This record gives sequence, structure tokens and C-alpha cells, in this order.
Amino acid sequence: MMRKALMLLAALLNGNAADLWTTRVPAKTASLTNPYSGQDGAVMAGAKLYGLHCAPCHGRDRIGSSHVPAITAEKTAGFTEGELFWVLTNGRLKDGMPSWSHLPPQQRWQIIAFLRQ
Amino acid sequence: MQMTVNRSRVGYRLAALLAAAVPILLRAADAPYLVTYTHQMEEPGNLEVALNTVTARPEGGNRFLNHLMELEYGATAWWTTELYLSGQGTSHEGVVFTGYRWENRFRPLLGEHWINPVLYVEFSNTSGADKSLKEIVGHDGFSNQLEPNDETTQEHKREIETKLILSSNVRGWNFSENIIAEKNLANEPWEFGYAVAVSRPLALAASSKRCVLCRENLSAGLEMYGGLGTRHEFGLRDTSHYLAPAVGLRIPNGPSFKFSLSFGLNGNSYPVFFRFTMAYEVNQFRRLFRGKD
Repeated sequence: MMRKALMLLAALLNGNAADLWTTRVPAKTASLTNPYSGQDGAVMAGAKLYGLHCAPCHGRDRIGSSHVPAITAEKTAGFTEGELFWVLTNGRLKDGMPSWSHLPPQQRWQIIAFLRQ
Repeated sequence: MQMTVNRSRVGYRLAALLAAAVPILLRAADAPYLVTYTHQMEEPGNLEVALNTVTARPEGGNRFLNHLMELEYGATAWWTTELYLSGQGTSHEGVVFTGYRWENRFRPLLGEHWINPVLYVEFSNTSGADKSLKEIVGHDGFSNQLEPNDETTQEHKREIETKLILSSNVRGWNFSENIIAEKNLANEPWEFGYAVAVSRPLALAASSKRCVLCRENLSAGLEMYGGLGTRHEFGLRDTSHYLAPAVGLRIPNGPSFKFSLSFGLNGNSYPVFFRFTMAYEVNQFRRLFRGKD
């Protein structure tokens, strides 16, 4: 609770409303770890899935655009794997990010393995 | 001279538009259903172009082939809008354009839940010759469609259709339920129907290599759908019902295909009919008009 309040305060002070979504991630989900972490095959599969599903908006180089956030390794390092899994599953429909819950959980984790590279 | 310049400019713009569209073609990732809707929305800015074909030969009637051309656009992440144009050809009766439909789907809850509702509203302006069998409601049955095109094209139907779509994704499986209420605006009673479905990709994890005919690109499912009578005569009496195994193939950076075989479950139903869909998805279609940013 305290962590969430601090993150909310930090996001407001930074004027970075885009980070507010992390306050909605349940603690149990935020603490999930990637079952494919460190597996080269999963990173390659994730790269393939990223090119198919994410690159049309976030770009092949993951730098985004004026209204699509960058998701480079540096940018995603500030989030836990569980938080990334949550945002991939739920999307941020208000801000234009679709939900990817129709992808099996394994494929969502493979994408995260790639994003962490 | 001016006309020539203008024409060449228009031609150039069209060619540029097509050239821009080709590399970003095409992708679709759907459950293999051909009747039942899930809570998956079209991605914002994407345009899916699909051709849905239905063919059957009713007992005592002629074989028909109905085409439904579908343009599905992701207006936002929570609102998908679609335009359908339909036409059919029936042996010995000719080919007719049967009308259009405009459909909208809204996700009222912005997060992912165990059960995800979607509200569906459609306006259709079709003739009685429409044989798309896009949904089965009321007392729809194969005998409704035995009348020849000459007669059925004279009948015009303006209808509002609403659906409550409920859908869940659990461990790679999708479970979807649609509750349908349709009203002919010519003072006809509400008609009801349902569709339920379950599906799963053949492989849950992706392989590290590019592939086309591999299990991760294939999905299989089972749909069941049918009518539930009208407001005055609600129930299963004189309704038709179908069970339809379905398969889907999604080619990465290419088209997707779906095929199903519907088996009639009672005497009011067609004994069997085929559905086939081919779809192309144009990623970020709206950027073609806005310019890249």
C-alpha cells in the first residue's frame, strides 16, 4: 500500500501520468517472475512475437512514437516482469493499448523475455 | 493538360497508398469462430478486410453461395466498428446484392476480468434474400430460405440487433457466450438467439523459428448456436440449432483463414453447411492518412 502511494506520488511529481498504471497492478501479479527468464529460445520466440504483434505500433526498434511509448530494455527495466505481464494482459484501453489476453500466457512471457534483452 | 497532370497525381497518390499498404499487410490473431464473438477487439488504427462465405444446399431448394464482405476497423482500443456488404448466388436463380450491416462493439470495462462483457449494436438493411446465416435468431430455419430470389428480394428488412458478448481467456483457452436480441423495425416482435464456443491454439508457446503450418498458428474450436424464439413465443420450439467444429490458420505477416462445418441438430436446421473466411489485416491503416509520427 505504501509502495503504491509512493509510486503514485512520484509519478504525479514527475508529471509522468503514463506510469500511474503500475499502481493498479495487484501485488501478487507484480511479484510474478518470468518462467522463461534467461532462455535464449524464448527470447527468439519473443522477438518473433514482438515483430508480429507489437512492432506495428511500438516500432521494430522499440522506440515508439509521439503517442506510443518506447519499450526499450532501459525503459522496461523500471518495471517488474509481473507488471509487464499485467499490462500486456490488461492493456490500457483508455490510452490505446489493446489487451493481449487472447495470446496464451506462455507467449506473453516470451514477449517479456525479449523486452528484457 | 491540367486534367492529365491531375490524373497522374491521383494515380501517383493511389500507387503510393498501395505501396505503403503492402509492406504492412497483414496479420490477424483470432479465435477460429465464425459465428461467436469474443471480447477481442480490433487493434486501434487497424483495418481488417475479410470475406465470409457460406454455402449449403437445403433439402428441396437450390445450392447457394453467400458472400459477406467485412471491413472491421479499430476506432479505439475499446470500440470496434464494422461494415458488411452481402450478396448471394443461388443455382438457377441468379446473383443478388442483399444489403449492408453496420456493427459496433464496445468494451464497457477497461480491464481484463474472469468474464469480459462487450456490448454489440448492429443496424442492418437487407433483403429477404440474405443467406449469410451470420446469426440464427427466433424461428429461423432452412425452410425460410427455400423461396426463390425473385420473391425474397422484394422483401426489405431493417433490423436492430443487440448482443451481450461474454468471454474469458483462461490458460490459452477461450470461452465465449453471446446472447442475441434482434428486432425488425417493421413492428415485428423481438427475436432471440444464442451462440457459445470454446477454442484453443494447438500450441501455447511460440517456437523460435519462423513457420507457417506449425501448431502455434493453428487453433481449433467448437461452436454451438441457434434460435430461442420470439418475445411472444420464447423457447426452443420450432427453432434451429447447430454444432460447428471450426479450425483457424493464421499465417504470420499474411492472411488468416477459418473454416467450419455446421451440423444441424434438429429438423428445422440445414443438415450441414460450410463456412469459410479469409481475412487480411492492415496494420495501422490510419497512419496512411495521418502520416507517420
